[in-house]
Amino acid sequence: MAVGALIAAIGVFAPSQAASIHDHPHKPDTGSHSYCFKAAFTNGWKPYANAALNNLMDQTIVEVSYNTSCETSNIDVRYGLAPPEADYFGRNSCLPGWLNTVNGVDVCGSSNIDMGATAILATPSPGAQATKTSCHELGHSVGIRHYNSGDNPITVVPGYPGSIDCMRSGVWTTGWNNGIGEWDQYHWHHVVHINDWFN
Amino acid sequence: MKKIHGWAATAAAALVLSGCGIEAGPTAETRTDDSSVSAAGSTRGEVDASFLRGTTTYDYAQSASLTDDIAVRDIAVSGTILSWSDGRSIRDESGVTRHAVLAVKVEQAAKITDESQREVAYFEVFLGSEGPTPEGRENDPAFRAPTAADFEHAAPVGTRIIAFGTPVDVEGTNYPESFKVENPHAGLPEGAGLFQISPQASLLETSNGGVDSMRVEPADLENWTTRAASLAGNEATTPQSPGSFQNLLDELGRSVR
Repeated sequence: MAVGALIAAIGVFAPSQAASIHDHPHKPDTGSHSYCFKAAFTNGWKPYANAALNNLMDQTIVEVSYNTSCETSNIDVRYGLAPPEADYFGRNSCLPGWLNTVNGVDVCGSSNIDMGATAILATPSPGAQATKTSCHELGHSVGIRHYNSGDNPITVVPGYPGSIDCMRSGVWTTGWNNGIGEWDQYHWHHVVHINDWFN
Repeated sequence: MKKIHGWAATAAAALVLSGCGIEAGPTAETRTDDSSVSAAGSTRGEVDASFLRGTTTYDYAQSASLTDDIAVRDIAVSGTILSWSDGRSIRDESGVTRHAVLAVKVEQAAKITDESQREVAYFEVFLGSEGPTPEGRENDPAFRAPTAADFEHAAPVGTRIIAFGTPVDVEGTNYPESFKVENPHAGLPEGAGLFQISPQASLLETSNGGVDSMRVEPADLENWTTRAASLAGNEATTPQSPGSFQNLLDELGRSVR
């Protein structure tokens, strides 16, 4: 597909900051975080997903494992593309039947990540946007949420006011380079949540 | 297992100080526990937007206000829910994505693409994506997405709504080859356009006159309700505030032509 070639041609982007906090409405199951790429998720998109997966392994104790087919039932994350009219950069959704309550916690055993190619390519910095959103949706799949959602915004974290990480929603801008941490990574606070869950 | 970074271990103490609870994870063998998402818990007549949102979250371009969102959508209307119908599905190699068609009886139209939309407008709403099931459970209804009837239970006919959208490629003419569109015109009258409902402008009036979204968390609406309250000159500044839906309706009215 043309979008794959287009995004593969996008240039380099400078890293910048981090932020974070708070649990997603559902957690993943523990053990290796398995993933696959759907047929529509063409080669132009895979580097962004791979970068997010590598970052997850670098920053946390989570191990990931690749499945060549997405047709296996218990894969943790299926990377795919949204239909071209999608008005979002990314969507994470737990599949029906795979959300279970375990010890009082909602645990998702299998989820889809749908990347919105059209919306990403329409941003001023599609490469940075794809990087951020890949990291963002993977973050949901390991149990963390938008840092500014709910009642515990990042600004309450001692010493890290206004910091930014990839769980920030919305359009990536160069202004994201001006804070603390890295916008294509997880804030230490998120890392601790992830590690504690998988430990 | 990989080693835990030293700084991360140190940070654990700070989490406690910040009041951010941490829970222990279940073991991997709990994966096959398959008690599943329940049907809408609301009583008919009450709006349960959290059921409509389900487990789905979006990374999307937020608009700062309702008026700003009108500018980036093709249709912007308000009215009441007229009906819910099961819509088209999109199948790929690992499952199927299901949609509902939401018909809105239009009362205010700030932006339309066809004059018929001054009467009724049709929006596509994501119901869920189904994936492969465990062996022997192919017919287990727990692994099916909610239906339009489930969504109607959570957002009943007659509920006041503000809905913006962008056009849907109903037959999937420009979709990737691996996508197969099933029943493309399901739930849609002949010749009617279909619009994907906006993340923020999928607004339902709650029982106390507040507002909630079918697609995003109420926190994502706070800028909108603050701005609408400022325009209205009242204190309904949060999505939960009684009167906040009416404020947004009034803001939309400023753009009606």
